[in-house]
Amino acid sequence: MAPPTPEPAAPSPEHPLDPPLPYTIAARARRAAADLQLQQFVNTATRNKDRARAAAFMAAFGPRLDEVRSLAARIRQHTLDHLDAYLEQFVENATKTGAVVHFARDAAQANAIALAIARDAGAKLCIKAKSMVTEEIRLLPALEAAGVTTVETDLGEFILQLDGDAPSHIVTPMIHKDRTAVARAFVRELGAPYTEDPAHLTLIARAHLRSLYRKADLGITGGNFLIASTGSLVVCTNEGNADFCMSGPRTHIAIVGIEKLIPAPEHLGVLLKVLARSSTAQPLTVYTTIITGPRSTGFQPVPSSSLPSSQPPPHTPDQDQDGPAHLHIILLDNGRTKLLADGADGGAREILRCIRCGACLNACPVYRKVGGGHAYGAVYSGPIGAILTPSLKGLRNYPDLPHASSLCGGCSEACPVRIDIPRHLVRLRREMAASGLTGVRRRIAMRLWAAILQRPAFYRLAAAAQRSLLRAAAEPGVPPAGPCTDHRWLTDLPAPLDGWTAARDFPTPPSSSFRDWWRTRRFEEERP
Amino acid sequence: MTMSINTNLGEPRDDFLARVRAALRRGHPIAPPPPPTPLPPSLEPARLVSPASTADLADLFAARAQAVGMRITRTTDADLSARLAALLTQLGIRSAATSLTPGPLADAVHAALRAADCAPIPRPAEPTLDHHYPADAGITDAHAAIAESGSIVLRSGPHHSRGTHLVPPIHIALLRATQILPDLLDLAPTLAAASSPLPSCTLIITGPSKTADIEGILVTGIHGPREVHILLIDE
Repeated sequence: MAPPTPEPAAPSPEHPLDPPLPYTIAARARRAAADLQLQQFVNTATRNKDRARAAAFMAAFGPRLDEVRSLAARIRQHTLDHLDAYLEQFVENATKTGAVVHFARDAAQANAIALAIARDAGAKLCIKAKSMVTEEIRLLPALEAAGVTTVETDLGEFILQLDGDAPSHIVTPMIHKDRTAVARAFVRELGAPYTEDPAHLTLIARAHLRSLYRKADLGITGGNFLIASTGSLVVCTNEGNADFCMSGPRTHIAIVGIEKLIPAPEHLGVLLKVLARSSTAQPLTVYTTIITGPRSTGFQPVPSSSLPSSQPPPHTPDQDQDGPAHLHIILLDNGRTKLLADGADGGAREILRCIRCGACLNACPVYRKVGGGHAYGAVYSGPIGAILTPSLKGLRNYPDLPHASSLCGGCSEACPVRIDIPRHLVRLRREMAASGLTGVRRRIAMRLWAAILQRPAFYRLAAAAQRSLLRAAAEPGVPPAGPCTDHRWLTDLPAPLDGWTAARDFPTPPSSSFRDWWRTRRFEEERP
Repeated sequence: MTMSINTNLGEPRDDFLARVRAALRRGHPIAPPPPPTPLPPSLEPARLVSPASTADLADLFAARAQAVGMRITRTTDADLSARLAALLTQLGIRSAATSLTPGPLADAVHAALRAADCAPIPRPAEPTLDHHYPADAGITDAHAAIAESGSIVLRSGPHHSRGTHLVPPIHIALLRATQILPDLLDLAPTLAAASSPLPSCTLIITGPSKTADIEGILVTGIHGPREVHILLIDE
């Protein structure tokens, strides 16, 4: 059977998630809005997931829903407010388990550490689980450049890698592609027979990846949580691919942002409950794996020189049958302490509560309309990306993102850790205005607007002028259906207002204003 | 192991932590962090299942585990071996890898393997998952289970590989009803007991390996097992 649609054009040299800066959203958003097929994929997927999430939360928690979200938010906020203490605790405990903890100030350092470990391990083939942080630091190209063949093992990421494409959703990375794209990629890159059956396609991927699992000498994952009191790493997947990455190869590297800490195992329960329900409406992800140290040899690990010698010898679990001989945990800052420093009420620190569930993406009408994550021009997309990306990489570099929202509040309703995303969007817009990043035209327009709104006489005059001017220019409109409804329509406004009329007509004000109508009405009512 | 692998690469730990302290305005010169203030004293609002009788928890667990795609066979200690042998025959399993704590349960499994003419795959001396790849099934016991989510909990250790539940296409788990905890919140105390440190791998399994990456269509068995069978041993 022949593929029904032609091969896609070769991917553009510009990486979708790493565009030239400053990034402007318009070109990609316009392209996506015109792509009806893409609109349909993203629309269906996000709407279904959003509905399923809401239903799963209601079914599980019922009227306690908001109380549970508040509890999760409090745990995350508490950890951030004491992140220094919990980080120290984590480093100490993880070191006791035999893990080696590394500290990366930025992406370049994190990549350098990972490469040094890979070199030291003599790694040739790396199997990698899905991780937003590794996308953030662009680890994969760095590994490939150093001669370490690296294979994405999450099915969606695996297909994107075959296609030279990039993820467009935090949880379901291939939201912008359909089965025919997968079928074509498997024919082209794996020499597989053409099939569009998802079960069959999955089997092809399974067989291919298994052959690599057995050969791999390095596994790389991110982490969903780090537990301070035990020094553990928590990784959640539905596919089980991360478990292969963390159990087969001799060396396991986990790269995790410092904000992923939680105090103790008991808090994990609360957060896991909201994470899986928010992401995919499941009670828990299929595989929730708590990694505490490398394979135990039954002997206590060599104490790190950074530990005071007065400490009691660490507990040692029984000898393991298998698992990696070496576990490296790379803690990543990469701008996070900048957000942490803004601890005021409604400040940027709150953004670090995010557990990357993707619920706000699914709830967002703008994310849907711009065809998913690529329009955001960065690894973190959707509403959380619109506040996280400018905060991490600079408002100057992403001036459009704080405006890529209608402030409808769907995101904050969906957020399991109650991040008030609209409030942060408005804060960032205010910061842009205060630091002179807002364009001259917009600034003048807003000043004029404010001046008029502050003076009732000006406002009346401006409204009357606008009404008569616009109505004079318009096509004859609809007859009035009631008071104040005889709009006319403008079909072709001059630049820069043609942005509106290119896609839809603009209604003029009706012939009489609400104020006029109100005066008449009051007068009528006062009559006996 | 070479020396460089144990050396902290990247930024020195103290510089890194100092930046975090500075972000939290801990003052200059930077003082040691204050002990964390206690968290909300109760996590109970997140509880979904309260403690109940073993029989009730077993019923709830069975229903929830089935809802996430695992298959439940209820049995008793006396019937275990026969039920397992029947299951192995029914599924056409000719070889199996095992991860079992030595004891009566393990004995019952080995008897079932013999009865079903199913070859146990011996464990190699090297720490590798390789011997699991040719196995038709992996058979494990469990550390605990969670009624609320229908999950089973496994731990790595001297008798427990990280591959038995993961690599073969079918995973068969043995679980006693008395091991079932009501809620995920009840798992933490069993994990963090000071007398037994956490093993290198603790795993909560909630269903067979799943993906919905292609058009949101659910497919099982993408990397791990496509089927998870649980033999639930009632009291």
